[in-house]
Amino acid sequence: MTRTPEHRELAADVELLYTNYCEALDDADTDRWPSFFAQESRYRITTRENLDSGMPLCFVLCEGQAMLRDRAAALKRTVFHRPRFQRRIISGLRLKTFDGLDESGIETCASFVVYESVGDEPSSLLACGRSMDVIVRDEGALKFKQRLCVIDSRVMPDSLVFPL
Amino acid sequence: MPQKLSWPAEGLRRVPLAIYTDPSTYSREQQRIFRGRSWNYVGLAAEVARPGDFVRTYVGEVPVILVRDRQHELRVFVNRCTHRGAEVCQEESGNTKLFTCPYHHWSFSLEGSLVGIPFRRGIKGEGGMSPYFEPAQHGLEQLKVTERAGVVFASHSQDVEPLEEYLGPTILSYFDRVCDGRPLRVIGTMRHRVHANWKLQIENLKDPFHAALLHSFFVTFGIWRSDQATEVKVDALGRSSVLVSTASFKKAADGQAEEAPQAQGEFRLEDSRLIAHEREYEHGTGAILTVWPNLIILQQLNCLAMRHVRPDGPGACVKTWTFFGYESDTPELLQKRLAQANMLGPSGLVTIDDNEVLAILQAGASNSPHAAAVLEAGEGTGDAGHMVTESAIRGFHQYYRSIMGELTND
Repeated sequence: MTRTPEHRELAADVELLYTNYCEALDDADTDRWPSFFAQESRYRITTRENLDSGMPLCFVLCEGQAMLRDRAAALKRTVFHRPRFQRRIISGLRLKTFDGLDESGIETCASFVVYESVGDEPSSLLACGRSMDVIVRDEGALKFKQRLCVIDSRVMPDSLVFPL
Repeated sequence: MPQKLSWPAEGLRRVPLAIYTDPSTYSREQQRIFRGRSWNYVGLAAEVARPGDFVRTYVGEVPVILVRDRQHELRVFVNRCTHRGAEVCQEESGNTKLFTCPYHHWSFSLEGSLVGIPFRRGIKGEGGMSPYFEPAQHGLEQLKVTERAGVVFASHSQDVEPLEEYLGPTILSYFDRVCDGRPLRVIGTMRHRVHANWKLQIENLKDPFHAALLHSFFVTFGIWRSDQATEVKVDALGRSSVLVSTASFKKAADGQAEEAPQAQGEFRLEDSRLIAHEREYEHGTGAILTVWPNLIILQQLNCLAMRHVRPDGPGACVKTWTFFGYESDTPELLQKRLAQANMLGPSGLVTIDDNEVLAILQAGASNSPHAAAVLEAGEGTGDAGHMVTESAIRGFHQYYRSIMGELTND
């Protein structure tokens, strides 16, 4: 596909969305997390194992902003966890489609890794995998209409407290 | 010089923390419990529906393969080539006609017999297996297998009592409440490491009163109150138990199956799909069984899961949640099971609390090997009609001590 200046501008805008998204979560700003999503949206975390075997179960399944806000509120107010820092790195971000930003949205895929630092232990790899998302323009801003994070490992090394 | 690992004079009201960290105790558990007269959960029959279907799993630390043979019988083999000891099966699940070791290509049938030995007669008449070598003596090691209502268990012991007797009438009745003979359908798995000894994970599901304190999700959103109806039932030997609870729900409207949470907490969920449930069973909105040694059968609202707790050294365990429903589920009921699963597993709004608390319990045990846990809530090891009791944990340790005998500390 030939890249036009408009495509390059769109790719830069999409990259900025991911950068801001990761920054908010790395800062543990869960209040902001739902704001990255369109009102009508779907957020899922699952594993390669479940996806490849056609199993519908997810670690996290939020449909619509209200469910995202409920999870954010629960993480902030009710969930007990040891203090931790997280660092998200996204690589290989690719726009699979360029048209339809204002209608059905554009598709992206990317690889992610998340490191976690808990207590006195050295930072360790918490998760790595691939995201397959749909992005729309909502009131002038880019938002996730769908975000699907697929974790590679079969066994999570620890709790996955915050969203990916 | 090994020292005796002694239980304090208070008896069952104390648990020495060393049993959660001591390597020799851990080895003895593998031998006496997991290789002993126990029924170990290995999977659901629905995971191996057709001849040749297999899944890789564990009995204690030992890797095993659950497979359906050509006669549709379920078999469980130790996943170890009888030649040099390599795992014969590396795939996590699939369908096969043979299990072939990649090293020297010894092949085993679905019935476990050694049926393929390359170069048995040598090459061009030279070399080969000894004339005294008898393939019939080198089949895969097989465990005793039993199935009830689609749930499969295996045992290293040939003389373990039948599963029904093993569970006892009370636990059996709660097992049958969920696994009632309707064909089960697996809807997915969650697997995660918990940084705690396997017994701490099992005991957590025998402890009814942490729920109202630790799990503030329930309290904050008004789903669970500390005065709600809870029952603890323990089997005659103390080894298995069930916690039955009734969450604070009211009917949203007459004639509707769906139940909405009461607004008792500080906050309300904006979207009640996380907990909106459809009543499927009588006697409580949740019943959580712990089946000796390391299976948790969970029914919480519409979530059904087999939680297998695999010991992974003294300081960790790997929890596999096999979520299931029934073949007959409506799409709406399946959606409820999936939405409520947000509370469970590695990202569970309730389970994270447990994973994290178990990790700090294990750290405490490591740091204070001479200290003991205090189990003074209630008395004895029997049933209770309220939540403020640790009787099921005491029952577990009563049986544990009878199986383990005298412990020594390295």
